[in-house]
Amino acid sequence: MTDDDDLPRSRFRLTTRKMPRLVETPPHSRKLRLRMRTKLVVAMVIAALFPVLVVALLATQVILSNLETGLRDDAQRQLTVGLNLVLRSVERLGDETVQLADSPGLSEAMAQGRPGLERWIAREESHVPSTRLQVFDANGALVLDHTLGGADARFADAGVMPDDPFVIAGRTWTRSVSIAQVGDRLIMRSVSPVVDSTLALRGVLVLSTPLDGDFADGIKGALSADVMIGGSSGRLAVTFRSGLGRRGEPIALPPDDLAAVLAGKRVIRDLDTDDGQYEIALAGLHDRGDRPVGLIGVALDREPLAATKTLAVRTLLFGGGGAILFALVIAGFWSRRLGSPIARLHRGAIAVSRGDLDHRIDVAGGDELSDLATAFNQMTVTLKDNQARLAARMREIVALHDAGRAVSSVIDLDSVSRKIVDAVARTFDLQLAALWLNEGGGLRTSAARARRAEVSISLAADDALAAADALRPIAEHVRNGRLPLRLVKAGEDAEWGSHARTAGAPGPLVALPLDRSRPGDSRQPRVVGVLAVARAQDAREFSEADLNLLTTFADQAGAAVENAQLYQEVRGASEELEKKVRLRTAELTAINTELGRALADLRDTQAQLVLSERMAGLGLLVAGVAHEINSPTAAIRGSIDGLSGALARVVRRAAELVSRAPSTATAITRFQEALAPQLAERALPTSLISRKTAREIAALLETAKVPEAQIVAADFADLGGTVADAELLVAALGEARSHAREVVASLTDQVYLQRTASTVRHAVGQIQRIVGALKSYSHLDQQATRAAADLHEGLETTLALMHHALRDIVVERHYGNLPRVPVYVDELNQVWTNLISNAQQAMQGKGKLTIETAATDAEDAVCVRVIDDGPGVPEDVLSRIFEPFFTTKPKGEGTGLGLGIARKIVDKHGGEMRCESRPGRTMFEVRLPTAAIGSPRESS
Amino acid sequence: MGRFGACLPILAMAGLIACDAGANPHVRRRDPGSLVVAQATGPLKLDPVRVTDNESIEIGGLLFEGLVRWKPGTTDIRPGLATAWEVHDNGTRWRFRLRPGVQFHDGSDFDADAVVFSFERLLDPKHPQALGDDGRYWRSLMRPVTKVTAVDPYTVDITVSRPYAPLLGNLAMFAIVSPMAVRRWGDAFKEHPVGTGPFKFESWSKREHLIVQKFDRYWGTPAVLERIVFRVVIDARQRLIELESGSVDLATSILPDEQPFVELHPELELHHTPGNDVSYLAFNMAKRGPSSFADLRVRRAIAHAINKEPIVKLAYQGRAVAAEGPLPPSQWGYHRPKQRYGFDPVRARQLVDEAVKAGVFDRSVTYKLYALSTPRPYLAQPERVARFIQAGLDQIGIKTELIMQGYSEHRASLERGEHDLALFGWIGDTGDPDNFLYVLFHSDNTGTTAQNLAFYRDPVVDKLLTDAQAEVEEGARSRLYRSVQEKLAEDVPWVPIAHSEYVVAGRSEIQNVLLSPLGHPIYAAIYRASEGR
Repeated sequence: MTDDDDLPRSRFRLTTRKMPRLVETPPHSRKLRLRMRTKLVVAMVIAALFPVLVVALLATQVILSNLETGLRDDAQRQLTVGLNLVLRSVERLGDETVQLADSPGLSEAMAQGRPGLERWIAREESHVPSTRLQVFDANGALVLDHTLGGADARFADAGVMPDDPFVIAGRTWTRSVSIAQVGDRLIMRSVSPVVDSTLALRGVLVLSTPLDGDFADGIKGALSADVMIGGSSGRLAVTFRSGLGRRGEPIALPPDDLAAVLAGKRVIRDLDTDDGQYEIALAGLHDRGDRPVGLIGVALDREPLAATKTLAVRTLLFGGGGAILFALVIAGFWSRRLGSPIARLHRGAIAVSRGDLDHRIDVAGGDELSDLATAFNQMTVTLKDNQARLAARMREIVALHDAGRAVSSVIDLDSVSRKIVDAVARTFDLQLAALWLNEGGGLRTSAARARRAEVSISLAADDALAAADALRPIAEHVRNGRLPLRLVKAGEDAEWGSHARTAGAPGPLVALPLDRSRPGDSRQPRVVGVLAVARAQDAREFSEADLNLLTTFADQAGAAVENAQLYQEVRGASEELEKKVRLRTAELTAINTELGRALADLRDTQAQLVLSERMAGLGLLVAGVAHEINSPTAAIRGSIDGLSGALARVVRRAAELVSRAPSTATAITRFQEALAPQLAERALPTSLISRKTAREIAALLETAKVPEAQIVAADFADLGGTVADAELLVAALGEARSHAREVVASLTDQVYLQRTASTVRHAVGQIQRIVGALKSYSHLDQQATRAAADLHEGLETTLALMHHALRDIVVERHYGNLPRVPVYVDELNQVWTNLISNAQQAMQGKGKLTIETAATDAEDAVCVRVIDDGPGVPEDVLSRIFEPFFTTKPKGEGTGLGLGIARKIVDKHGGEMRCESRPGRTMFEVRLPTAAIGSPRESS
Repeated sequence: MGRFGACLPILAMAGLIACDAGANPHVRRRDPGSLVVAQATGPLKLDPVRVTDNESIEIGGLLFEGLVRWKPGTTDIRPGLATAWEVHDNGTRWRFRLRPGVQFHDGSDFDADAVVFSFERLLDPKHPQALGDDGRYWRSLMRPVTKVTAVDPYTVDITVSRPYAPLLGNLAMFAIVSPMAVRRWGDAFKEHPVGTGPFKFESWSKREHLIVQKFDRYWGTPAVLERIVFRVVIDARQRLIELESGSVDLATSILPDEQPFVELHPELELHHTPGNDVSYLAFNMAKRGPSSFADLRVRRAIAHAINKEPIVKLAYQGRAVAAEGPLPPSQWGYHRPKQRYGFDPVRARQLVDEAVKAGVFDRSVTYKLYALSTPRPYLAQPERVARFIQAGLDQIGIKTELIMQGYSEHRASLERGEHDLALFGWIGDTGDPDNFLYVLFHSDNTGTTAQNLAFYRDPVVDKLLTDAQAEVEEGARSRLYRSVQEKLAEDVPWVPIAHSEYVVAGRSEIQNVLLSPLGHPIYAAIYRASEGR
């Protein structure tokens, strides 16, 4: 049974839920269609076209920019190649110079002078490019100046003078090649010494070629670009050709570019000339001394690039426009195709939401939209069907719920049964309803209700019960199986058919167990009854939903039946209980009386035990006291033995002295009487001091002519006499110097007497103290009432009495400032005795005992702590030490009551006692209140 | 998000394309942090204690360091892996304090044990990683070293049998190697070098290229370049073309003929420094008899027959000075000898005639003149010079056959003493005159794998050189070296030809190219200017 089952069913209240407010239909459905169409168009254009257009635009841009970059790169490359070509030309000029200089026959030709050279040049001319060739002899004189390749005008200003540094260098075997600037023009120039086979210098050969437009034309042939070259003035010869094939005019560079190039940077830029647009790249040229002398440039035509650009933009514009137009047309067509069925669906949805479940939508086409319309139509049909079924079921549930409530509110078993049967018969339109209850292993037909088969008149109760009896086998079967039984046509059932027919219920039949077993607990089945229902023969059969409802109802009915049954049982049981209670009460009263008696006995026993413990403590005490008194007594006895002898000697010597030296006897006697008590009180001198003093005294005595001065002095010093005392002695002796020895001997005896007397006095005092302590301990002289007392006094008394037991224990006292506390002094003394003796035993007679006293901060209590450094109390023992008869001592050594009694006494004072222990430190603390307690707590 | 939200990614993409289109297309190099160097020949071995060729030393100088180092561009000694040093026991014990916190490229720590290890593998023939014959050159430099001991992890004592002044200069070039790496690679360490230098070895494809990369945990100022690629481009013209096209950044061994091109080119630059080297024509003095150059007159005749000025002007394009002795004039200790041999073909012929008459020289023999086929820093056009010399000797009636070989073959032939005449050169690598004179003329160095390729043995010179090593005072050493140079001028074991000027061609965007006295660019300081127009 779960909690849910116990919930009152009345909590469920069926309410008619209001339908949600319907969405207002927009007044113009045409507007919706238009809006959607617009959106579709826009979305299509954006989704399909925009990215394409953007990408196309960017791609075009990328391509154009790459073309631009490519052009610049190309200009760079062409410039690199052009530069290389120029420098290679320079280098080649150098090579040619060297080759010419090394050519066979030149040195011989030079020896022959100009005619020889003319012949030589005629021989070599064919394989030397256009250049101006100059030959100087070893002394620097120009011997040949020849322009190879005609065009003298071009080379007119290219030559060198004999005093040119170039020529001078050549004369010291130096080969060199460089670029020089002459006016606006650049000249490349090369020099080589002319040597014979032994490397002897014959002359110098110089070749010079201008780097002009013609030269540039030569480079242009190797490049696919125009070339510009010129000096540092910035006027560049170009290879551009006009329409008639004429060379273009030299161009002048802007000063900024010129400066940058001459500073060694490459410059790449656009250039507009009359001949067209160019991309130019420029680099500087310098001579061997790194001085800028001019520049070279290449120029690439920009026209193809510009044409490509125009084409790209045009294509993009037309293509983009066309694409947009196309997209608009497509989007318009499709939005129209999609819009109208959607609008019809929309109308349908609105009709359904208004509750018009008969609305149907017609969409042709066979696409997803028509599928949607079919599904929509199906949905409305199903919806309508379900609505009807739901309403019927709702009614059943309401009825059954009401029945359940009615049944649960009754506790009389028979009324419950009747109500169940009535309710179920009413709700389910039954021919027969019967309820059996489980009683004593069998089933009793508790209630039944039936109708005649043909007419709807209820049968009398007895007839109904008879009909139900016919169904009893079915009921028993259900009870035993604990499972519902459903028969579609009971009358035709092979097993139960005859019973059903007998009962007049051949139609649909259901029998349900009223099962109150705990879920999952199959060992204790608890079927309180069985409910059977049957419909007329041709009535509709019981559906699954009916069965569910019936099961729920059976559950509820089972609970009601069980409640009613329990109620009956409880009433019977409570009467039985009352009887039992009365009996027990009597028994308990008897036992209580018995207990009271036992308690009284126990108290008596306890008192006896306390007494015996006190006696045990007293025994311990007496043993100590006897020992304490014994020692001083022995001392007194020892002293008395020597006393009489010494006294006799003193008397005798005094008499002798008087007879022998009457004149000084008085002085001597007075001296002895004065000195003897002093000496008796002085500590005995050490032998070293005594010997030293003896020497001084002996000297004094010898001066005073005392006979046997050494012996006298030694004796006197041994007694503790000083030189000053010796002077007094000499003075007292006067004429009777010869008696010095006797006088000193007599003095010795007198000192002895004095000392012995003091010993006896001391011993007697000790005895008095012990006796006094004993007296105060037992408080013989005080009555056992509470009086304000100094706790230190009690502690000291106890310590004094236990002095003997504590002889090997160091006692430390840490006494605080205590107020006087109202206590039972003698009882409290026993507490101290117990604690101290406990500590002494724990330490096995050796160790350190600490006694601390202190007042609490609030001064409402005082604490006394007895601390020992013994092995400590084991933890398991600690909790039990205050129990009576608990002892850790061997049997016979303790009663085990000591601490228990101590605690009781402390309790009596309204105080507390506790113990803390660890190896090396065990502390007992007694805490006593300073305020008098009105009525001392008696222990129970 | 609005209705046009869907268009945003497209716009972003378009933006990217637009940006890409606008980027500078003139990025010439995919890897602007690296520098490509074209060399005429590649290194032989990468264990710097086992090599004497210039490229190996150049690359070794990037990968390894010594206890001391040179101030850039000079041969002045500065603290290197050692931070301080003292000389004790009358100059026979040097104590070096080592720099803490230095790591080898393989992650192991540099300490005194590494120093001891580096010495022991050279000096102790029983050492597990003993260098054997490969260490001959350095062993001859370190001959006086008797013991190297680690006093504590950062203190090393080097004990020498006699006061040995060149030690400090030698230590600048003596590489401290990673003991861990040497033990791991054994002999193959020469292909897997591990040092403490600013660059570490990356890969090496022999005769093609060698790559080093920046060492990130370098203790000193880190290199600017991330990587240096040394490419072997044998053809000089090709080196220049690649330089011009920008596919290499620096090119060494530029032909003198092509230097004007580089000088005139606005985007190329010629870097040069006076070289600490000498080129020479050595006589094989181990050979005896009339068909050799054992007779002094013949040697002197040849010295007179060679006109050095045209060589310097024509073969070196003026990038050299005619040599009068083995030491370059910039080297301290240089002395111009009293005995000089000017160009005098008449005198030369006369001397040869005398020798022939005396029967100590056979003119009918064709003598073998060995020369390099590839340029070296000290001999940019070996063939041309050899042919000049050949012509000069021909003038005085001495016939020669020119045998040209690549560097290592050439070297091997000379070490075996196959030559009668050898055209060769030397680059001083410690900045000490001892490194020229002792190495090239002491009889200690005439054995197999000789440096003394004239096989010159003279007790007086030997003693002078040894004394000079023992002398710590520079003036006194100079005097000793002066005597040596005088004696060499008398004996003519060589005809000194020229002291070159080192030339490296580079692109003008490569900045701060400073050449060491060995002619090697100081790579750690080189950087690339951002590319301009």
